[in-house]
Amino acid sequence: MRPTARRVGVVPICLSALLAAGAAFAQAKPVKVGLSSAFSGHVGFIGADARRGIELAIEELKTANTAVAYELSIADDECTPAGGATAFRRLMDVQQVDVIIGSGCSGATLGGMPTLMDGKLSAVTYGSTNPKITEGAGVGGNPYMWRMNLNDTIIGETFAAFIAKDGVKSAHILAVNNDFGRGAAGVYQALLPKNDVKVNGADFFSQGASDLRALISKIAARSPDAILLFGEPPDCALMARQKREMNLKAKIFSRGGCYTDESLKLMGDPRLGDGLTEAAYWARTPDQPMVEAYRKRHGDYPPYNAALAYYAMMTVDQAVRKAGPSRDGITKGLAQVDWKSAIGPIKFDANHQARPDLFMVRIENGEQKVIETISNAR
Amino acid sequence: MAGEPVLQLQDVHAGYGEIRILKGVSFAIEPGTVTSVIGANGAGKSTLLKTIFGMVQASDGAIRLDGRDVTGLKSEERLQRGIAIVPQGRCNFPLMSVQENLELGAFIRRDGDIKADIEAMYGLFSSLDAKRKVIAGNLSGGEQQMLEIAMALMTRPRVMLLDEPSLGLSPRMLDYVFSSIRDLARGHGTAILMVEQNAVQALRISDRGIVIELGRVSHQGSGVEMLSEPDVRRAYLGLPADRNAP
Amino acid sequence: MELLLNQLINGLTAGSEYALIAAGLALIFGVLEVVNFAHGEFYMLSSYYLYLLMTRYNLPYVVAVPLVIVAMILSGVIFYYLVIRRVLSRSWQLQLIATLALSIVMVNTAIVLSGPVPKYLESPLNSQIVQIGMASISVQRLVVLAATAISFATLYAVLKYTRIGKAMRAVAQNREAAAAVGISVEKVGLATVVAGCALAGVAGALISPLYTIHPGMAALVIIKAFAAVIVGGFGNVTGAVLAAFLIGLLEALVTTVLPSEYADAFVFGGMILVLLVRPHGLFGRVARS
Repeated sequence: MRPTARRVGVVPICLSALLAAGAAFAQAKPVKVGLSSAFSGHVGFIGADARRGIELAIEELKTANTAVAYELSIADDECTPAGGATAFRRLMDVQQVDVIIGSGCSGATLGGMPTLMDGKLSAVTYGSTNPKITEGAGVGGNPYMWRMNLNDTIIGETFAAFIAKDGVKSAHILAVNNDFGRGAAGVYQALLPKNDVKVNGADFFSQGASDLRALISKIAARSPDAILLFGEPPDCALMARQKREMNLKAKIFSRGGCYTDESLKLMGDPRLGDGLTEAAYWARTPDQPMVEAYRKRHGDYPPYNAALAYYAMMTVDQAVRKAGPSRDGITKGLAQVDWKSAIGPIKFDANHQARPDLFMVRIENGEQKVIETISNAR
Repeated sequence: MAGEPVLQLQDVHAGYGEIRILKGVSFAIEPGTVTSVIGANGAGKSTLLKTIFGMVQASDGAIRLDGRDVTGLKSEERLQRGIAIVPQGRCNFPLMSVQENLELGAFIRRDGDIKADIEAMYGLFSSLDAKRKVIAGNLSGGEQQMLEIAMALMTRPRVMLLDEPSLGLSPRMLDYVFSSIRDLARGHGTAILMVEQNAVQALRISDRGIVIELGRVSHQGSGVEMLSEPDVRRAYLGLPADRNAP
Repeated sequence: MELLLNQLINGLTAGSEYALIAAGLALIFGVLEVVNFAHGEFYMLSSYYLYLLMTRYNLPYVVAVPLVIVAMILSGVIFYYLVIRRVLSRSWQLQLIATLALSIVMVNTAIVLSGPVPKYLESPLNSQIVQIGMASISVQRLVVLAATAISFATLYAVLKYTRIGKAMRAVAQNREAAAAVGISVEKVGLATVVAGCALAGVAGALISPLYTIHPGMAALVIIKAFAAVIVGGFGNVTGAVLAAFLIGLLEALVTTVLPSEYADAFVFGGMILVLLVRPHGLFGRVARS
């Protein structure tokens, strides 16, 4: 199960081959990994988080595996489609990387995807959830785009059923006005009615908007049982605080990181988040060694972007072992990856979509608690 | 014409950045006199006034007020010592009343006589008296010119610099402005140095005339002398060289 | 009715945020004819001052707020001598580059020094909620409304009755005439920039506890502030303040009746409409300041 343990076993077997191949292979130039994420702007923290996760993975791989060394380059995609196109292009042509990890944002991933074709370079996203990426990848047309994390359709089917089971009869969608928020809103507008939950309406706010009061006033006037919130941690914290200020009673179900430590910290009083439930593609479950390793390095628990980027890097390493470190090898290797990770199985289907576990996380007494881990493996 | 000069320029050089406009200007003016500066466009007339006031810094030479060097002083300090300016074009605060404009004219003063001086200005320029509360931008061109001169007088200047006081005025208004200027010099003992396009009329009321050519003083003399100097008549006054010619 | 009252309050609080920033922007443009593209970053800066005072020095909120205003006044002095004074009589292109560059430097300095992760500050007034009719509102928000009113009353009185205020209006109306009567454009410039920064300081110190603090926090607000300045008649402070509240109310109202993503389209569509009908803005011909 634990990737490091397995790798230790692999080393002696490879050793003789390595010796035969000579030091040349061991000292061959390192595999260049490019990270495309937001490093500036109001979500600039997600890039910094992902970088730490990947660096941890590379560090662990270095101690466990002397055959291949990894070297990380980063590019700022600002979480926008245009930024994604520029960042992917930069990593591909200027940094000459062998594989891209990213983007962490759906918009940037969608923007960057088409450029991959030119360089025959694979990209593995660890955090984009917009279903369009799956639809366009693999047999969908783009053989170089891969998604390690769950997409909104897969999450949506499970989450919509969960919400209905929780007693919700009507809901209003409140989402950030970008590819992630719009994509997710579309998914739940279709899926909730199938589970007999009425959708009152959908409203969108600008990324980084500081005031949701006008929107909350409007939603409160229609008194839905629940609000589905799709946003980043700062948006969730704002929602929690303004919900208290306006004495709003609706339950909150969320996607995008409302359960995270940064979200709770931004609420001021983390108990403002009590009762909020998020369907999370990553949560701090006890059986993940990387959580403690990360904490030892950085003093804090890993944010979800760091954890997912860590697993994406490990997935890339799995591909390198299968078919070698070149661009072509990694693309071939990714198709063969069949890895039981600590967050569930990583194996790409015809649309290059993997299906790790989904975590239902609820805030209780100001702390995140995983109330259910759902396997999506088919 | 005898007596100590109130303002004296000695070999003054000035310009904007690399561009040198004044290339060694020297002259002196006496209290209670009117002096007109004439010259072609771009000869440096406005720059001369701005340099005397300190809006443009002299790069060389000396400017003396009552015998004391003011070359290194800022505009506000020169204003304090008695040099006032009425720049070319509209030079009032168009959205404030006549009264507020006069109050601002005394901005550098902190004495108790300001109110009395404002009343004195209303006495001097009776057309302003009836319009104390009128916004300056709504006054006629001549009234605005009067207001601007009155504002400059609020500092009780020893030397007043006027840049094109007749600009945009009707011929009747022009006569009125010029005669007021002359009266001011005689009555208050203020030395007036003015730049004027209407050179002929300006020289008629002037005690002295100075011609600026390529950044230097090319001719100077009394107003009457200037009006009869053939070179000046031909080049700057638009008159035939010989004053007796038909 | 309840919804309308709620939206009125929401519109007014959003409007105060825009107005406090737009007023400084309009003041600096009106008096000095410099468009300060870094103005939003002063809002961000004051929020970080508050954060620093409350977390690093553990000062209570009520003590930290006046200190933030003092810090902003000092920052205004530095900003004036470091940037504005040097470009005051230069071309507008140079002014644009100078203030835009400062904006970029400030945002990125904030990212380097504090990281891009947003921060949150709890004001004790945040959790005190009062009912006004059917509307529920935090005391902090009421303080914002009151402080905005006090700030503008003070600004009005200063401009109308004080020596420096008169000098500021004089420079705004005719810079050359102001120089001729002995008003030091330098001193007026300093006072103007400091006043603008202090207003941004009030915004940062009072509004940021309602939201989150991060390096890019001014980005969305400054666009609305610019819209207010343009609609209000460029350089007209009263016009900018009124337009800012108008924008806040319009947003809240549009959000109520239409899908919220159209709110910005309405605000900026409205701005274009106003400019078509009145190219100098709604209050373009009324007295500056």
